[in-house]
Amino acid sequence: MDNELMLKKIAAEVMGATTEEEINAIVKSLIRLFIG
Amino acid sequence: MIFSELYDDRLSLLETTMSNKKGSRVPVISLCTTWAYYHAGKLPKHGLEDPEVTKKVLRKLYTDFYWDGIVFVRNGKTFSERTLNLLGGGTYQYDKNGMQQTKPGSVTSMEADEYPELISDPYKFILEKVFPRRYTLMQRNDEQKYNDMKEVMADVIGMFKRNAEEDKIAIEEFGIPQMRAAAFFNPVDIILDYFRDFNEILGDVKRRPQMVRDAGMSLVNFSLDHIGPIQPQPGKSLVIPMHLPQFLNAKDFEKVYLPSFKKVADGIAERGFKALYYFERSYAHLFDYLKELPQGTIGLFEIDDVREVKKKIGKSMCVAGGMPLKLLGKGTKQQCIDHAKAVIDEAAKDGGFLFTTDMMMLSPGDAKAENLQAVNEFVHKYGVY
Repeated sequence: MDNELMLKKIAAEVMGATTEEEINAIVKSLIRLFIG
Repeated sequence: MIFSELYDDRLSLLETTMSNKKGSRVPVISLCTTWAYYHAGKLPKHGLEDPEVTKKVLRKLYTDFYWDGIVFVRNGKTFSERTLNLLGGGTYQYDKNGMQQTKPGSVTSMEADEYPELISDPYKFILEKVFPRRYTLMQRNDEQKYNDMKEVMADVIGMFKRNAEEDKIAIEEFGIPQMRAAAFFNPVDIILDYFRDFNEILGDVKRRPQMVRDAGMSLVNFSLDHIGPIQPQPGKSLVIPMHLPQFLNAKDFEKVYLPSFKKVADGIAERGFKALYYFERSYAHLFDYLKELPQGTIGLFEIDDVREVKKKIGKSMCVAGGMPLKLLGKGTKQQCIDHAKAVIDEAAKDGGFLFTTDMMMLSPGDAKAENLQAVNEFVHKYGVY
């Protein structure tokens, strides 16, 4: 599983995102959060 | 006055002052973080081990000293040691007392020839290039990676919950507003703090300035995305510590840093927010550029004398600072009060001035409690317009 897919799965299954738009927004926020 | 009325009164005072106008008095602002643990006879690690300790520490901080607003309670992101271990990396670590320190050699996660990839798609570059280099979690097998990330997210959600509870103590129990709506870095500082370390980026500024500039421009939306769904609120600002410009001459600053900085500053203003810039070290050589920042800018100055700052660029921004930690930590009560009086007399006479320390309060030696107590009480009473 590549890292993007893993974060998408986290967004949907852990954070409760349902739409593609919500999933992408959460993935972006996780990238900002874990930048360093 | 009950706490909700006190809160509203302080919020209105902060909004007026941050709009560079004269309120009813000079607001007294806290930049206190880990110093509060030492003041309460604890160590920062005790708060990491038990969130109830942090709550007690904060209640003591708000009881023992006068405050109209708080900007910092914690030092940036405070992922627990467990979270950092699960991730298998990161750019900081904790010492034996629980103080955050940058992990030596951990920042560099990008080579000089990778600027074009960063410029092409910052999110993709971070996900595909930076994360695998930074976190061992990203190199684990599928099941392990997902399960560990789930654990990390449980920790992070807990961290956000604790942060909200801590802010609630200030607001609901003491009527003290939390002035920070969000915190993030300017684009070129993202490159410095997360991709290319200090010596590397200084070399890049000389050898490939156009790349640094273009990478900054490509990160403008990345910075602005931090605002996300947040709405502007009175008395609150976006807090942006600045790390590179103090080491650049004016020519290099204008060439590589200013374009994306200005774009983000304008984006913040267009969205109706105020920005509080933490100008670390000295910015005297860049004052002419700072005059061009939009209305609603607040400048927190570390080394520059706020009395001079207010004279030179005070028409274009609200100025914050004034109380040197060196004096609070080593001086007498009377020396501290004399200095505070001189600052209020000269820097605050026309409003648009937030009284606070010149740096974040981190270590036990940063202030004697009796000095901080005397100064804050003095400014609260003497700073009435």
